[in-house]
Order: sequence, then C-alpha cells, then structure tokens
Amino acid sequence: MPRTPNTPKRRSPFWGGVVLCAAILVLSGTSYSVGVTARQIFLQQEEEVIPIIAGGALDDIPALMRGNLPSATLSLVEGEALRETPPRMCDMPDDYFDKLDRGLDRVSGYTPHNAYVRKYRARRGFLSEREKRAAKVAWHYFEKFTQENTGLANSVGNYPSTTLWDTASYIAGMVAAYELCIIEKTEFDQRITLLLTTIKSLELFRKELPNKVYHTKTGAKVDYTNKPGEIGYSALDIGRFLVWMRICKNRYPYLANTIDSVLLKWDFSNVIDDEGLMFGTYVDKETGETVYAQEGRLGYEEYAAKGFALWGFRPLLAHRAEPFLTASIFGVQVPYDGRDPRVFHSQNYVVTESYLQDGMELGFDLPHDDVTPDWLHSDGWRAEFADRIYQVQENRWRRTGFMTARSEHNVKGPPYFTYDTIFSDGYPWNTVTPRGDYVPDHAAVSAKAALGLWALWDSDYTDVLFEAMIELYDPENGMYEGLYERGQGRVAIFTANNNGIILTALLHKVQGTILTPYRGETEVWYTAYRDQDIRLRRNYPDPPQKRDWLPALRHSIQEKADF
Amino acid sequence: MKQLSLFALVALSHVVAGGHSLAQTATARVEEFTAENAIVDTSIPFAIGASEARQSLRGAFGWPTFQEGLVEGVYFRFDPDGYARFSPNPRLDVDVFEVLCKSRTQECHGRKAGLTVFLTPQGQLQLTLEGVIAGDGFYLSEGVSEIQIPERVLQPLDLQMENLLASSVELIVRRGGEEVSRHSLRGFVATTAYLRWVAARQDYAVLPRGWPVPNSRTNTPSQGRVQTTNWQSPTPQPQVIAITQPAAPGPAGLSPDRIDAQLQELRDMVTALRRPPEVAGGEEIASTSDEVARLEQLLLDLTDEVQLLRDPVSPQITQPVVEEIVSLPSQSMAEVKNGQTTEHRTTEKLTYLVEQLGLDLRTAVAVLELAEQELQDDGALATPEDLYTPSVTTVASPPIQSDLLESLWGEINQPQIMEIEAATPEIEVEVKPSMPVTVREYRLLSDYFASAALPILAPEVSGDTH
Repeated sequence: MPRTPNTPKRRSPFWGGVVLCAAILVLSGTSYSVGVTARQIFLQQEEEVIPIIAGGALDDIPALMRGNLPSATLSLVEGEALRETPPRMCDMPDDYFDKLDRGLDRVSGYTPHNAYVRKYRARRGFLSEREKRAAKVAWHYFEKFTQENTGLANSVGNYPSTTLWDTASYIAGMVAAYELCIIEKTEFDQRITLLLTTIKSLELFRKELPNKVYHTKTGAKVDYTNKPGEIGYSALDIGRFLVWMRICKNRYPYLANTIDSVLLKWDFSNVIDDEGLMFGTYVDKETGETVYAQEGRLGYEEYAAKGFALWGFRPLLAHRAEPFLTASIFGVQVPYDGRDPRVFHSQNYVVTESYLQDGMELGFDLPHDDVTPDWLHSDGWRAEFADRIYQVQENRWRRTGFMTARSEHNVKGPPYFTYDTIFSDGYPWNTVTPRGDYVPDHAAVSAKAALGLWALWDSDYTDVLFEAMIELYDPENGMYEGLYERGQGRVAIFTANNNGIILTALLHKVQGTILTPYRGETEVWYTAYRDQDIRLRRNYPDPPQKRDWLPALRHSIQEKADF
Repeated sequence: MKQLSLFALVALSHVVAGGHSLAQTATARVEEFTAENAIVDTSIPFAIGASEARQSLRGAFGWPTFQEGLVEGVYFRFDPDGYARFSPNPRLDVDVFEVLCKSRTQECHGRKAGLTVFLTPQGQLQLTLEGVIAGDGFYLSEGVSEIQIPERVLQPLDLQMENLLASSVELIVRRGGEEVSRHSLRGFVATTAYLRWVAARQDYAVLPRGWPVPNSRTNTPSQGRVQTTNWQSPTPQPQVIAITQPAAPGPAGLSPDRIDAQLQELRDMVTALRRPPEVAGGEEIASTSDEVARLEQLLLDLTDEVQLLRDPVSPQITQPVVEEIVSLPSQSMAEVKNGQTTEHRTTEKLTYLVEQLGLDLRTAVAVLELAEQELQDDGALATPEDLYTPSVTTVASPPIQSDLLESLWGEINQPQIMEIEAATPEIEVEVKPSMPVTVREYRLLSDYFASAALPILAPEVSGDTH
C-alpha cells in the first residue's frame, strides 16, 4: 500500500485530550482575569460616581445639624405638585367648584398603595343662606363666651373652664369664621395672637405639658371643680391641639414663630414612648405622684397620633388599629378597640366624632401626604373604617326609623356628659355616663355628628340629618348640642366643641380638607435649641424623613358573606 | 296624708339641694363638683371586691373617681357626692335604686319608682310610697306567697319590719282588693346599708350582719373617730346589732338636746349649791364643797358625752353592753375619785343608767351614790376571777351578785383556791374576808353526783376525797 507523504499524521487520542485540557485552562484563566478586572473596574467606578455629600441622603449627619433638613413629605420625595390651598369663600371665583376634581368617576376601594376611595364623596360648594346663618350663629357662641383678658373660650356656656381639646375647637371655629368671611383678618389676628400668648404663659402640669383643665378667666390651671390645682394632662387633648396648631401654621405662615414658641416650651419626654404609644397622666390620690397611663382607644387614638406625627413625632403603635375587634350591627362590621375595659379600665367607646375630625381636618390622609386629592385618602383604613361608622348609622335609621348621629355630648343636668356610642362595653347603641351607667334617656342626635356626616357623606340620609339640625340654634348662644332621640326635645346646652366642629363641617364644604401643605423650608420647631441639650431632654423630634413615615395599611374589607 | 306630706318634704329638700334637679345652671354646676360636696371617699370600699375607678372625663368638670362593685346580688356605683345606683343588672339600667344626697350633707334617700326610703333623725329607716291613701293594704311578696303587713310599714321601721322588707322581693299596695302599685325591693338591703354607711361617715360598724367588708384597710386619722378600733374582721362584731344603729335611741331617747337640758339642770344645781356656804356651818360647807366638786366633775363628763353623742355614731354606742353591766359594781369610791380611768367609768355608768335603763339623770346620780355608799360599807367585792384578771374592765360579777352565787363559785373553784393558798399567801388575804369558806364546809359537786348516782362507791369516793 503506497504511502503519501503529504497526508498529515493521525494524532493519538491522548494528544486530543491534552489539547482539550489546555483549551479549558486557557479559557478559564481568561474568564477569571476578565471577571476580576471587570469587578475591579466596576467597584472603582462606583466609588468614584457616588460620593457622600454633606447633608445628603448618605450623610449620617449629627443631631446638631438635623434641624436644617426639610421634612420629607410626599411632594418632596415623589416630586409631585403640592395640593392647592383654597382661597377664602368670599375670594372664590363663581366657577370655583365647577373645575373641582371630585373623583366622581373613581371606583371605591383600596388602591395598590393602600389609599382608599370612599363610596360617598364629600359635599362641596358655596354655603347656602341657611348654612351661612348656622355658621354665624355657631360663631356667635365664641363671640359671647370668649374671655377678653385671656382669649380663652369657655368649654360649656358661661362656665369659665376649658380644656386643650375645646381650645382646639375654638381655634377651629376661628379659622372657619375667617375663611368663611364671617370675621376679617384683624379680628382673627387679634384673637389668635391673644390666645397663643395666653397658652404660652399657661402654667404647665409639673413642667411637662398643659394641665387638662384651665380657668378661662384667670388662665390658672385647675382641677375638675375649677379650683386651683392640677390633675394631669391628656395626650388626646394635646394631639388635637397639635392638629390645629399645624393647620394654623401651614395656613398662616406669619403665625409660625409664635406657634413654635408655644410648643417649644413643652416637654414631650413622657407623652410618647419609643414604640409610639401615647401616655396621659393623672395624680395619684394617695401619694400625689404623677401616674403615666396609656391613653386613647380606636378612633381617638389614631386621630391624636396624627397630630403628634404632624410635628415630627413617630407614634407608630398609636396609629395602628390593632388590637381591634368588630361587632356586627345592622350588617356592618363595626370596629372597636380590642383592649378589654375590665382589664385596662378604659372604655372603648365607638363614636363618630374622631372619624369626622380625621376626615374633615386631615382628609383621612397620612401626615406626610401633601399631594393626594381630597377624594383619595392615603390613610386608607381610617377612611374605610369611617365608611363603616357612617353606614351602620344610616342602616339603623333605615331599619328602625331612629335618626342616628352618635357622638359624645354634654347634657343639661346630671350626668352633664354622656358617651352616646354606636358600640361600647359589649352593647350596641350604648349611652353611658363617664362612670359607665347606662342612661338611654340621654341618647340624642348629636348636632356636630350630624353636620359632620352631612359634610363628609353626600347622601340622602345626611340630607335628613341636615334638615333636622341646621335650624337647631339659639341666636343668642349658638347651636344646640343636639336633639334627644326619645322625644325630650333639644339638648339645651351650648358648647365650644359642638360649635367648633359645626363650623369645621361648614368650612369643609367650602374648602375641602382643612389641613393645607406646608410651603416653607425648615422650621424653628426643628432648629431651636440645637446648641443645647434641651431638645434631647424634652424629646423634640428631628424633621421626619421617609423612613419615619407612618405606614399606609389596609385591613380586610367586609364581604357580602359577612352580612 | 302624713306620709304624703313627708314625701313632699323629701322632694322639696331634694329640689332645694339642687343636686340632681333638671333646672341646672352653669353657676350651680360650678359648685357641683367642689370638694365640699364630696361626702363620700370612693377609695373606701363599701364591700369586698368593690374598687375605685377613674371616670372617663373628656370635659372640664366632673367627679374624677367613682366606686363600683357587687354586693348582696346587686351591682352598685357611687360618686363622691353620694349619688349611687343599685341594680341587679350590671348596666345599672333596670330595677334601679337611686340614692340622692342633700348637698354637702350625709342626708340621703333612696328611691325606686314610687318608693322612697330614708333615715329618720333617730337613724331608723322610713318608707314613703306615692299614691297611698288611708285604708290601703300592704303586702309583702317573696316570689311565691304573700303576707299582709300592718300600716306601720310607713312609720319608722323597727327591726322586725326592716328584716321582713329585706327578705322580700316586692311590696304590694292594694286598695279594696285591687292592686294599686307594686314596688320591687331588689337592692333594698344594699341601699339601706349604703344610706347608713354614708350617714355614719363610712363606718363599717353600721353595716348589717354578714356584710362582706374588707378587713385589711388602714384607717385614716379622720375615720378613726367613728370606727371601732378592735374590729378588723370580715365577720362583724357579734355584740353589735348594726341595723338598730347608729342613732336609734334607747328607751330614754338620749339625744344631744336632752343632754343639753340636763346639763342646764345640773348647772342650776351647782349654782344653788354654791350659794349656801355663805350662811352654813363648817361641816356643811365641807360636805357641800365635796358635792359641788363631784357635780362639776359630772358636768365635765356629761359635756364629753354630749360631744360624743353629737357624732352620728358614737363609739359608746358600739361598746358591748356586757362590759357596761359587769363593770358597774366592781368600782370603789376611791378609784372613782383618784384615777382618770375610774372617772371615765363613772361617766360610763351614768350613761348606761340613763341611756340603757332609761333613768333620768337625778335618779341615775342617786343610784350611783347609793352604789358607792354600799361599796364603802361592804368593801370592794372581789370575786375569785378578779384575782386572776386584775383588770376591772374585762370581767366582773353582775350587780345582782349574791352570796349564793359566790358560794357556788367558791364550791367550783375550791381545790384551786387551796392550791393558791399554798403558793400565793398574799392573795389568800384578799380572798378570805369576802369568801370565808373552808374545805370541810363544802363538798365538790362531782363528789355529790358520785355519791348520789353511785351510792355503792360513795364510801370509796369519800374515802379517796377525804
């Protein structure tokens, strides 16, 4: 067999294996070196590209400097436009409400971000003549029962005593009267300045926070008998007061320094703890020592918590609904606080008032939300629970005929004050005294609750409530507290809280959510005392950042099967 | 008509008090919750398990605390101004006894529908019923059967009538066989106990027998004046018949006013006695001076008594009666004149004679003087038990103690006396004059029984004994 010299020599399998291994080694080495090089390059680039800028997001600045940071709100973080601040009613163009976005085409329910759209929209529009008259009469209460020397308004008629809760109602009335053009700026400024000056000079409860009750004529702290003394402070009252301080500060920037100076006198070290629970105080009868006790139940607690959050505090636990339970009443799962009154010695009243205040004043929004329109509520579960509170009252009216708008209210004569509840102490429609006695004869349609429901729920039922309440006034003294459910007539008593909330409801019809966005940069509230340890001792907060925001949550929605 | 007018009076006083009338003004409210109106301390439990709680006040005025609990099958709550509700229902909404108090006083009354119950100034319970006229019949029902009760149910209640009402469920008024009204008595016991408790400034001693009261409370100084000092048990003192107290008068109706009148009489007597020394002889002057001193001492004691009686519940009243009885004859005149304790005992004796036996003051003083005279004549009676218990306040012989009793006592204790004779001769000296007994004169009772029942063994027994 001839042999061709050009024919290549056939390699052995061993040779092939060697070549394959060599190739693998070369490729692996190349990959490794490329990877290492690339990693070095990328890491090198990251260090060069992202520097930590002083005061920037990566800069963990010391406490001394944090006050200069702006509060992180939704508009700042998301870069969206702030909500508009509405003009006074007398400055509104005639077509103001024609262009208003009311979200009528939106379906009710939760959004992916846990915001909530309610089934009913709020009423919006100019005040009618009847409504204007009611507003003027309600304001007349404050004209008549405000003390000239202190600027404090009486809580109840001519009884010269008040709480911070009722003082907030007076401020609400004042803002509403100004925005509804019942009073002019001169009178508004005169009143608010005198009031804030007095509040700043109030003697605090054991150098912490304002006492629960003050004498309106003298401004002295008093006990429940209106005699000089002290009884402790209420975190709920302070929370509501903080809501209205924030409303005033955001609406009227020229008052900001005065308002800040009032609050910078207070010591918040004990009113809110690290977990975000709120604490009130009372004085131990035996030892005279201050006793700190958790304060607030579902409804009031979240409203007051938002008041604290508006000033940079982080009431994380107080803002949560848990622990809560539900009671099925007329087919509605009514939420109530799950803390057993027998254990915690604090009643779990379910009333309308706190939900109304959250809705009208804060728009059922989270404290950092300065963007969303009125019909979208970023604090979703609050709006959804409020819907239930409304619905159960309408259902009672439809099924029993009892016109229902339940709230806490004063009554003439003993027991002077009742919790006229939707649910409490295990019973639906329970009307109880502050010590727990069942007093069904004091059940009433509360004027403030009725007009609050009317403002926030534009429905046939609230039209009925409106007709029952809008002329329920005494031109000399203000709006009556309500109408007795069992036919005893009007609740013939006049209070600051009732008239203040009615004015708020009427203002809400004109302007929508009362709280407007803050348009300044930083605040004295955040920058003061940075060179001292006072901020630390008094627990003054730093400007809240995104990580400090209260969470937007949702709870299980009631299904048809629940009925 | 008398009841109706009384009811009208109560209603009027209620309106005058203004505590819970509908016509409230803001000015009235200012005074409603003042410390002066707080007549009840809600931290003192009315019954075991009751607790003070804080009112959920949102407003600027009100009572900061109240007390709630369960007793005798009814739930209750009360405020510092005395306002209370008693009901078998925990919501205190149906079948409620409501207690209202006259402003700033302990004068309270309970009411339920047309039934009103209150305490008379003498501390007795009295009922008023709306719509009752003369000739109406009253019946008590305990759920199954009924019994008719006399019309005096509308008079101040005696103990028997009160117990009858307390054990009944309903009070029925009938007129000519037809039922006029029916009043539930649920909570009657608790309500009446509360009325007495408030009237006695929250003194537990006035609560009924078996009332579940706490026993571990430390008395505050202000309560000490009206509380029994030796009682700290859930079981009430057996000697105290609470429902006849605190101010139920004795047979003589010893009231502060009457004592005042008697004091005046005594003063007159002293004045009259002070006049004669100017014209009398030396011996008469000495004896009259002694008498004046004694009367002045009595005056001082009586003044103290008046102060005690002005208190709604006097500790004197709650003292066991037995103590008073047994302590009277065991006092000597020397002790009365010398020691502070014996002076007080004289006062107690006088109080006992006036209050318990119903003697007027002159007679009582005369009895005391007679007793003192007898004591001086006969020497102090020293019973054998006195020898073992030197304190004269604890146990002593009754005033009618006779020689027979003494001899019996001596017979029972003869062997012990014999032993003591050997051990403590100084005691023997005291015993012998009042009990001149010897072993030979008496036989042991056991020996007597042995001899009577077992005549066969009698010689043996007597032989063993003697």
